Amino acid sequence: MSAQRTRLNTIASNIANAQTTRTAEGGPYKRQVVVLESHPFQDHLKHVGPVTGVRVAGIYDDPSGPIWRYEPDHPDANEDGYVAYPNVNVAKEMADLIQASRSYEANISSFNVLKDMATAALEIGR
Amino acid sequence: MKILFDNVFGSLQKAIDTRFKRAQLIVSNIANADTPHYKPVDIDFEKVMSEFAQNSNKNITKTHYNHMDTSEFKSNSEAAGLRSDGVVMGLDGNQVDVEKEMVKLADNFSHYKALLQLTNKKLAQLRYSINEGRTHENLDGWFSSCFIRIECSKDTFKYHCQ
Repeated sequence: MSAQRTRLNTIASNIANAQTTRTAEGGPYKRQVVVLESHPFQDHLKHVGPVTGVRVAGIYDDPSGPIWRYEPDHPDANEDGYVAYPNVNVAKEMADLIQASRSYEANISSFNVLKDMATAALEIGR
Repeated sequence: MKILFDNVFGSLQKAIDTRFKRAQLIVSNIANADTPHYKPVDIDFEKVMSEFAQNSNKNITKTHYNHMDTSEFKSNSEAAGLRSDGVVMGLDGNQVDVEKEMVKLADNFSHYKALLQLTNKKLAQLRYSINEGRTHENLDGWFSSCFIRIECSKDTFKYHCQ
């Protein structure tokens, strides 16, 4: 769930920075992509079981180039009058946002099922 | 003494354990639904239980009191029952079908609850014997335990109503 939360935060930051043309590194904001990976849990004897968790492998810049728009009045325009805008497609980000939020909900449901199972096991012999 | 010392509790424990492990695997599949190139894993419950049933019949006789107890190693068949099947769902090579996993989780949960009820009924039956069958409600418990046992025997493990 925290991995999905990282995804949600990253997507929110992509949408918030959809129009940012100046960043600390210089140039326009670059769209961030979260890459998830599975990692096996170890039990108390360091045995690696088949049960795997998920974690964030890294947050990377989208390698695609900026979107150039002709705005000669803009202070960040180059000598040809084009401004480099971030490579963020808001519609795509919204779709990703909904997907991440659904994944988060699916994880909540599965957590609840596991929790109910553990609680039910405690009721044995009542 | 058949009620106390038959291996129904052993089978129940194994079945509950396997169901819980299966739930953990399904949950890890759901958690990895967005992980590229992830393949879903699952336990074949019937296979694990049938192997357990076969192994529990093969009791290794200890010829020396210092010999290791084999009961711990007999039923280590999760790895054998482990399977991984799926079709590639998206462009990222992920093979998890979240809907399928949720259905499996719900199905597993209801089977798990049935097993817990069985355990409770079995204990109630034991309590009934201890109380020398005095209370009326325990009698009810005994009869319903017979009924549930038959219902569950279809896809969990074979056990006959006594």
